[in-house]
Amino acid sequence: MESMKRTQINVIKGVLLINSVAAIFSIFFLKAPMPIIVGLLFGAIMAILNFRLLYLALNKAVNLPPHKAQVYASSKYFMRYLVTGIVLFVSIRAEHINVLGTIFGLLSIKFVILKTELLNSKQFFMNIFKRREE
Amino acid sequence: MEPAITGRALILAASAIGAGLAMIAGIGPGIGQGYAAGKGAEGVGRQPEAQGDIVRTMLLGAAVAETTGIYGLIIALVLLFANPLIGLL
Repeated sequence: MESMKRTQINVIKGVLLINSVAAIFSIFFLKAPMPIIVGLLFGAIMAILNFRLLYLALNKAVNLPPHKAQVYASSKYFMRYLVTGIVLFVSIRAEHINVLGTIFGLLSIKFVILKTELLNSKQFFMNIFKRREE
Repeated sequence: MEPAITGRALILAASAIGAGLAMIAGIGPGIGQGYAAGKGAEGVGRQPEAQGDIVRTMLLGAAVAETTGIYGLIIALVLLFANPLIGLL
């Protein structure tokens, strides 16, 4: 359970970091950065909330009988999907929120997980360029 | 004489159909997550001490899979409420 906690904290830190970097870039390179920053904040908060809800749902699902776990995980997924839809709808409709910022914030969790969990091994990349016959 | 179907109406109709088709992308992750959770529950039943590892792997996989559904949702909502094609008329 300790590794679970550490993983979640690492992912949340990564999401906040990547969105902060994007916000700083938008301050320097855009004429009106405020809607993008609000969108990034909105998207990042929703991504973290979704991630936490996903953890709670899966942690409960693995202690249920398999057929109930399937239904439970799927129904929770559609609840989160609905919430994401509402968030995107609000950011499209609201004038002071840029939808591209929200989209980046929501999807940033994917980049963080791919970076921290899949592409974190230097040995993996070194093996790609290693000659097979050696 | 006014045409039966204007360009704007045609774009709106096609966008609505496109949004419906894009929402199909949201079903896949739901089915996949449910399947993974079922298998995870079987795994935990077989080996309860590995629950942490099973949930951790499933959590990361499910979080990545969920963003794929969000792509479809974004396309659908943009087509319905912020359609960029109408501006091209």
